[in-house]
Amino acid sequence: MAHPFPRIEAAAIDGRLHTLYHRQVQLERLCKALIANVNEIKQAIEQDYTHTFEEIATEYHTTLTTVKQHYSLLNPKEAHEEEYLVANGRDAPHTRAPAGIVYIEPTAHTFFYSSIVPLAAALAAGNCVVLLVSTHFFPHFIKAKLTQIAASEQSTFASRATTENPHLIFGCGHLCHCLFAGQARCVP
Amino acid sequence: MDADIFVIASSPVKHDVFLSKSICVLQNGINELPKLNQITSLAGAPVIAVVDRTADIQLAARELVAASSSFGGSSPYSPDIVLVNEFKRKDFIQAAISESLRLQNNKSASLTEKSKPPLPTLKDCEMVHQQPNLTIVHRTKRSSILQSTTSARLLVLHSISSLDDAIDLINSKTSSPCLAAYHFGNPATGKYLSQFIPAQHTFINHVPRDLLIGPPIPLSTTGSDPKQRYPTTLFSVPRPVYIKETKTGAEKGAADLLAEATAPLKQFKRHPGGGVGFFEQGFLINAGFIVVSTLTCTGTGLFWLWKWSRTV
Repeated sequence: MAHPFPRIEAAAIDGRLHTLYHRQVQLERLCKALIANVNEIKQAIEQDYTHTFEEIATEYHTTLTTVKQHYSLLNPKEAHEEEYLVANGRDAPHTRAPAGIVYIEPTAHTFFYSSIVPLAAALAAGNCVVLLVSTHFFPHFIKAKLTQIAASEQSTFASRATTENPHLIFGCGHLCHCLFAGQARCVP
Repeated sequence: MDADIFVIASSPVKHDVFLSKSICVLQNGINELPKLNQITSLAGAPVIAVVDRTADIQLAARELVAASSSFGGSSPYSPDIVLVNEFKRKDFIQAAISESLRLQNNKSASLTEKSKPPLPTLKDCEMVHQQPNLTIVHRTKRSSILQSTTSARLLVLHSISSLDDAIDLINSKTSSPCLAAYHFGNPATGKYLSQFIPAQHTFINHVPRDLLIGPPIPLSTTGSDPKQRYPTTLFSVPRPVYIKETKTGAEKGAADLLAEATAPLKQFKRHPGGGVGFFEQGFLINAGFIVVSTLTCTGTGLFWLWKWSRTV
C-alpha cells in the first residue's frame, strides 16, 4: 500500500525538522496565524459550544501560553553544544531524537486546545504532523476555521517563498544539512 | 506551517504501516493497554469524588460544581459520581445548589444563549435541582452507578455510610484504575482513600481548573505532570551515546569474587515487634485482678486471725 502522506514521509526521512531553526520557524508561523485569527477562533468556539466568554478566553489563553512555552524552550546554542558533546569526548546520555511522524486524533471537548497543544509539542520535538480534522463530526465551526487558517497559511508561505525570495527554501535547506546530526561534512 | 511538515487529514487514517510507524496521539482513548507508539488513555475510565464527614462542605460543593459545569460539563475530568457521606448529604446538596445559583447569577450576563441539548434519561435518579448551568440528581440504586457516562452539566450524587463503603463500592464497579479521583476530607482521610481507590491522578480537597480543559492526560510509565499535558519528551526517543568507558576497578580473580559475594548480608535491625499481644494483655490484667484481690483477702484474713488469737 502506498504511503498515505508521501510529502510528510519525505520530510520525515530527510529529518527536515531536526534543526532547531526550522522548528522555530514553524512554531512562529503557528503562533502568528493563531494570533492573527483570534476573533474568528473565538466566534467559532462560541458557535460550537455553550461555553461562557471567560471559558473561551481561558481556553485560548492556555493554548497560546503552551505554544509560546514550547517555543521558548528551543535553544539553538544549547542544542549545538549537546550535539557536539561526544565529539568533545564527553558522554551524551540525554540525547533525544525526533520520532518522525506524529498522527493526532483530537477529542471533541475543547477541540481548539486539544488539537493545537499536541501539535505544538510535536513540532517543537522535531516531528512532522498529521492532524485529524473531520468536519463531518462535532464541533463543526472551529474545525472549519482551523482548516481554513492552515490552508491560507500554507498557500501564503508557498507563494511568498517562490515570488519574493526563491532562495529562502534552499538557504534553509543548506543550514539544515550543516547542523543535521548525520552529516559530518560541514565542520563548524 | 510548511505543507511538507503539517497536513490535515479529513478522515481517520487506517493505513496499518503508517499507524505502526508513527506516534499516534489518540485522545478519545482505547480499550486495551497502549502500544509503545500510542499516546493515549484508557477509554471508559471513570472519574469519582468522595466527600467525607470531615470535609469542608462549602469547599467541596464549590470545587465539584465547577468541575461538573465548566466547559459544558463535557470535560473527561468532570466527576461521573460523587459519593457523599449520608450524614452530610443534605448540607452538601444545599451548598451545591447555592453555589450553582451563585454561578448562574454571575454568568448570566456572559453565558452565550444556546438551546441546551436535552438531558439523557437517567434511571434510578431523583431530581434534586435543575438549572441551565447545572442539574443535580441523587442516584438511589447502587446497581446503576457508573453504568453510563454523560457529557452534560450534571452532578450525580450517591450516599455512602463510611470510607470503607466508598472503597468497596468503587472497587466492585471498576477493575481498571479511575482516570481521576477527588477526595474531600482531612489529610489523613485523603491518604487512606488515595491508597485504596486506585486512580491515575488523585487530588485532595481541590479540583485544578486547568485539568478541565483538554483531553485526558496520556498514560505513561514514568508518571505525568498534570500541569503539562504533552511534554516534548513524549514525541522524541532517547538516543544516549557513551564514549567514556566505565571502569570496574582492579580486575579481581575468581576467588576474590566468590569471597566477596558469599559475605553475609548486612541485615537491617528490626524491632522484635509485637510486644505483649492483645489476648495476652487481657489474660495478664485478669490474672492481676485475681492475684491482687486474693492477696488482699488473705492478708486481711491473716491479720484478723492474729488479732483474734491475741485477744483470746
